[in-house]
Amino acid sequence: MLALAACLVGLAVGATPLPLDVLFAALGSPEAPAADIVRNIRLPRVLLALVVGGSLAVTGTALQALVRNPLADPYLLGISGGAGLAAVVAIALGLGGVWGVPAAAFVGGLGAIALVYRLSSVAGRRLDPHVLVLAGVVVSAFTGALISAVLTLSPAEQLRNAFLWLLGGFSGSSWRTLGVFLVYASLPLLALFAAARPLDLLSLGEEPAQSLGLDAPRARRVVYLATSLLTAASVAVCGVVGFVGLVAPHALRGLLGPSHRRLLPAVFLAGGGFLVLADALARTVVRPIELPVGVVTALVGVPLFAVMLRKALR
Amino acid sequence: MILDARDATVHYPGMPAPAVAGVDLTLGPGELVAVVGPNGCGKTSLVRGLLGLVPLRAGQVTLDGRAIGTWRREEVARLVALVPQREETPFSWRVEEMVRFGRYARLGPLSPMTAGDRAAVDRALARSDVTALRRRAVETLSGGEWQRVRIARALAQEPELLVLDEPTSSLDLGHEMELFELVAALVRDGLSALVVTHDLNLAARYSGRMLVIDGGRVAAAGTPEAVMQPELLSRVFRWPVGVVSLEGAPHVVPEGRETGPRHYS
Repeated sequence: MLALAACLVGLAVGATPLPLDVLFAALGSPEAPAADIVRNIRLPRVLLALVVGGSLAVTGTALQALVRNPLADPYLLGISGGAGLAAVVAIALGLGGVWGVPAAAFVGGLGAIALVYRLSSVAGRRLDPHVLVLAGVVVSAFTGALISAVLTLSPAEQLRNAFLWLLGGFSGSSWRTLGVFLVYASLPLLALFAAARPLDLLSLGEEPAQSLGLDAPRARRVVYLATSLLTAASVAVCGVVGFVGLVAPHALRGLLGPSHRRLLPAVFLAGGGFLVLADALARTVVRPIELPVGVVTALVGVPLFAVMLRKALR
Repeated sequence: MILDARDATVHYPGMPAPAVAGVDLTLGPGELVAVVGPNGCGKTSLVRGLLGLVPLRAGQVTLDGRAIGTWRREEVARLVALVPQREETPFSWRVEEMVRFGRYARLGPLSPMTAGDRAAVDRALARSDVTALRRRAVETLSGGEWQRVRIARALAQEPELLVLDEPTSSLDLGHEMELFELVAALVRDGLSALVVTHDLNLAARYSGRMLVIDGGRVAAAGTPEAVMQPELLSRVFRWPVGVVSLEGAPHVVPEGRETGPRHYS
């Protein structure tokens, strides 16, 4: 319900605000006055924000169970940064394209998570969740520096493309981007929804999970692959947007409990609704200029992260 | 035999010496075997090796007559339930949800719980006396309650063998006794149990056989009377101890540095 309301808001606001009756008329008939804006620009944009937000939220939730830490998020673990770096390199080399950028981002995301994993297992055989988050931050800083380097060295035309993309946001959304995203995202989303019970068990830790009958190494590989793919697909269509994976599960775990069979679908809708609203805000606060949507999610996410960190350390 | 280990050896990569070397162990139906030994002697590694959680460097372990390496995890979980030494979860699970996880190996990732699964969960909650706690969040439980919940989860697996790794290390005397009495009652009902423990006296009192591990090897194995020898235990635990008989069970009494051996009538 809330996600649906968020979508309506997302459709209604913009450079030209539309009253609800005009909006419904436009959705109902292609001849209505605002039909072109609503059907070809706003609807794909809102739907894309919905599925990207949902995917990021599901990714965050799955990663939190995997590393057994409610502070995990594809952005904080450096997966988004790795995906962003690979995508910028692909754009700078002119290898981009609608299908190529997500593929490059996937490779970058996997590379980043592998690096984070290595860094955090150096100290001991077991992954310490706190060290893992620290390693994620280090990798994020590293990819951020490399992205700046790539941008500086790029030819002017590619630089503009890469920079526009990097700012993030849904201004370039079309039915085609939505299609590309769904092609990349459906399989990993289904895989994670199907892994709800394994995620429950993974959150108990390696030994309990194994002794309860879960093939933990295999389950972990599925989660790594699926979350990297989802992050990469999201980064490819809207740049690096952080904190959606943190906000949605945090809000819902208190209401619904930690069981992933209930949590994952709810988190998908909540994360989607959150990103649609964030995008609507980004489009309207300093109209006609659009803020990058990542700015809005960070404005909500960073204070929440601070509160959660305080609670975790107490 | 449910569990049969011959020359079981666990050697972690990069370590100079094996954690467990050449351990023989058999466990039949309705038996309670206790594994004792000093800190870091390889008790937990032995448990991991026996359950196939780490690969064996040498020797073999069979479960129900079949080599452990050929079992899938969910097959093991239908026969053997492990209560690991330590366990923490960042999320606020309810007791009932926690015990339901015991059904995972019989459900798989997707199929819903049947009436039979629910009945098994109810039986397990009742057997461990935690039915009244079923709506409680696990982080609000006391140490003793949390251990009983984890045993309930293990019982929900409907196993033939229950493996407990230091189940009483953080419990006070009353909760420790409660737990050993529960395990003893389960064994009387036909369950087999392997209990890793620090408590020599309770091990001697409740187990049929004891295995003393030192430096990853078997220092002694046999009935409590055969194993609870002062010279052996003094050597293994690097502290002088005496052994007395209390109500028919051997009882270890550590000596004081100043007072020397104590004498009991």
